Amino acid sequence: MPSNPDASTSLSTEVKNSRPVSPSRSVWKRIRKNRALYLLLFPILAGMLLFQYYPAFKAFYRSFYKWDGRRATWVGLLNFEYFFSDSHLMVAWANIFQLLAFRVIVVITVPVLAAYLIFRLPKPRHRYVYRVLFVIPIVVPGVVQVMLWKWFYSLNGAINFLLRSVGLDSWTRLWLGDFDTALYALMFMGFPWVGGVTMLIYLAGLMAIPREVLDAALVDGATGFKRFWFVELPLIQGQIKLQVMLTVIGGLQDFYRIQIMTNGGPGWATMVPGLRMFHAYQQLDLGYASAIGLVLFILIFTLTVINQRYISGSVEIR
Amino acid sequence: MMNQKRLTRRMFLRILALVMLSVTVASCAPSTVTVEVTKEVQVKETVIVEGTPEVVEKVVTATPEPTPEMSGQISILWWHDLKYYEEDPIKYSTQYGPPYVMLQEWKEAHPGIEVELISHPIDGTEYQWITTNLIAGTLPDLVMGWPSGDLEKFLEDPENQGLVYDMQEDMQEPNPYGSAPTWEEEFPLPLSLAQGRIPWTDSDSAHFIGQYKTGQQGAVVFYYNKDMFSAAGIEEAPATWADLMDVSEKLKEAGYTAYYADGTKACCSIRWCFDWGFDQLMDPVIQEMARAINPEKADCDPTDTSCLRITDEERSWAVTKGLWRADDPQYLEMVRLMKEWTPYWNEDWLAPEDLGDGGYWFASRVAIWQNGVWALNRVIETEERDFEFGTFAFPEITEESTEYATGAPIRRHGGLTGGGNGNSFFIPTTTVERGNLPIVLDYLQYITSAEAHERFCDYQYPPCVPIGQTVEDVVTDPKELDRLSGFFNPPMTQEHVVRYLSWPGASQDAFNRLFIEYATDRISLEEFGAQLQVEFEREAEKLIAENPGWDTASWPEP
Repeated sequence: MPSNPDASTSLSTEVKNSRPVSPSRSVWKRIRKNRALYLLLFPILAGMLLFQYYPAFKAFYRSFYKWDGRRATWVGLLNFEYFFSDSHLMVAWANIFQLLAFRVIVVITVPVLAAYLIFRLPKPRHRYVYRVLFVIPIVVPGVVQVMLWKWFYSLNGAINFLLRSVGLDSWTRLWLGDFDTALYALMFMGFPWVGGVTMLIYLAGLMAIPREVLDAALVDGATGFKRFWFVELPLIQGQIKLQVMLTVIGGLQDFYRIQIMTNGGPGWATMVPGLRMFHAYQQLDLGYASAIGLVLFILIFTLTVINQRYISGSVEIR
Repeated sequence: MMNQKRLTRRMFLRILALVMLSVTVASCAPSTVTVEVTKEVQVKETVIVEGTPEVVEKVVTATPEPTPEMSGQISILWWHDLKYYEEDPIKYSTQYGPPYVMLQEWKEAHPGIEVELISHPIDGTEYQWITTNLIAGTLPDLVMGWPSGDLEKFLEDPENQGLVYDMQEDMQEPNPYGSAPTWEEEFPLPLSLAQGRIPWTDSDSAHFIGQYKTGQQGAVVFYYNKDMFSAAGIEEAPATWADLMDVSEKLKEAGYTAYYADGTKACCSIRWCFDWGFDQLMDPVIQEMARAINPEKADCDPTDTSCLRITDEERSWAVTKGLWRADDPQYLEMVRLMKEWTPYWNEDWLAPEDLGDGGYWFASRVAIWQNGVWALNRVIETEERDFEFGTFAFPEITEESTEYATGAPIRRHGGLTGGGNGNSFFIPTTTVERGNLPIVLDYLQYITSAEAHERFCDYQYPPCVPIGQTVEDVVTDPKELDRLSGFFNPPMTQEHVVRYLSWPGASQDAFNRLFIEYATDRISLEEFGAQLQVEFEREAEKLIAENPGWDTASWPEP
């Protein structure tokens, strides 16, 4: 027993307060205690439920129907049968995985390198200048960039012009109209792929590394590439993992750039599932579009879970 | 001690009240934009002066006697944006000149009425836009729609028929702006070769009325560069497919590119050529398809497109019964012929530059460009063009080109039943609920009077050609005849309007892509047919599943 009477009082209070409370009661207590905040959150939540969750649920539900937006006829798994028997859609999946693989490789290399180079600049002012330079292109609307690249790739566009000017006429081609080059042309779009926001995220991660860690590494003889590979890169794993996840999610859904550049052509050479889904929507085959959407959702969800659960996102500093 | 601010109940209620007040004020703000009506309106019109269209300015005054004063506000939807005419009367004169001018006149006569002009997207989703808004009850008071094709199909559905007002009873009353005993007797409108009123169910209903053009309106033609033709030693526009190949070869030898095609777009530089060609080569199949299911069509005049337009049910029947197959040599022949033409297309047809509508042709990068009558005024007046031009229609496919020629008449998109020309108006029933029906009917009566259509002919270009006459009777200037030839030879009467063998939607998309693969030698013609047949069967299966009301069990054998 403590000798301090106040302590005993506080102890008894502590004992009283430590009486187990059922989980539901504690949840309600917390809600009641913060009811103003929950009330403020409610409109946002209601909006999300109404405009995001409900349409998604409705779409998944309608994937078992032939649906033109007005009439819905139950067809069971017919849409999914089409999905898996559509040889052209299989081409679309192959395309998207190739595009995705390339984008993931790009997103974990070039922006990291750019961020690291900026991070290593000795003067803060120089770091600031380069940061701004890499970020300014973000303000250009995405569609404008896509249209620009479309022109680059045209028969009389910048790329062919450059090739002709250095005497490589035989290398010129219709980059987006050639079955053999169209998909790679889409991959190459956006070169040098620094990606302002991605680079900033990596840079922020590098700048958040405690100074002591870097000093300790220096003391241990880790300089230059060794320091980068064994110290700095592992410490921004969280950022890398985030970017990979976002790239996968965005890449699987992405189609607007392909729609503008090639509309999935020539033939099906650059078709992707998202674009096929959009075409189905335009053709008022909403049930089939919903089926494609459902499959995409399952795939993205699975990849996200794998990424979260099995790929380490942080390194502990001891 | 730090003063911690908490969200008190009073503060929360104040914030909530402020938000509610803002929402209320925002929702009360007027959402409509009214069009100012002034006493006199200066407008630009395209008139024909000594055979040449010219844009003149004039002041518009009300022609008709003002009807008993009506007041209110109505909204009208046009196929495209009528306000374009204000911005560029040259470019949009053919399409919008007459209706724009007449709308101003009607507004002058009804100063108490405000008119809001609304446009819908023109990116291929017009049908979806109209139907979803029709279902939602949010369409304008008067809607310009294309009564054939998807919209007609939509409104043939008994579930949807109650969404559109039937003007049949009103048509039994006199048109105050007309001279016939009843409004119905004003039709067919003078100089119109098709019914101005297009009933979509039977002769006892009138859900679509009027069109905003009149006369023979051959909508889609090939515009060609006469200077290039002359330089290549070509004296006449091609009349047959063999001529077209010959012309293309001569142009190529002279260093020119014959035709502009865009392989990235579903419509129309390539697709419409297929539609026209299939209509000729597959004529016997189409005739049988069109009459197979509906006994009322059994007695159709073979030249009557409005009667013989193919429905989805008939397409599904034909595929299911094996009458229409994608691997049929008769069908594949048009595919083969088009492939033969591809070497004469722009080199980058698989991914052309974005030079705008007609950019390649105006820049003299190609000799032939497919487009419609809506481009005619721009083609005539624009400074982009520094060459002389002519027009010709899709050529006849004869035995000189293929053993599968049928001798069927040339058919193409356009005419009074074609989209862009054949748009008529319909009234959503929500207009009646809003109390705007009298105003809307008055406007329709104004623009569909016989006198109004005389005035359409005054404004519009190409000129009207009276029934029984030819364009050579009306137009004598050789240069103008060359320019207009494609629209009138053959005349865009009912028997020259395409019947749409091709399937819309996923099948059409697959067709386009498969053609590209075939044209670039990635697949053979047989593989093309086999893969397309899979799409045909899938489309038929899908449509049958979507339409449980079809009595497929009683479908006859071909």
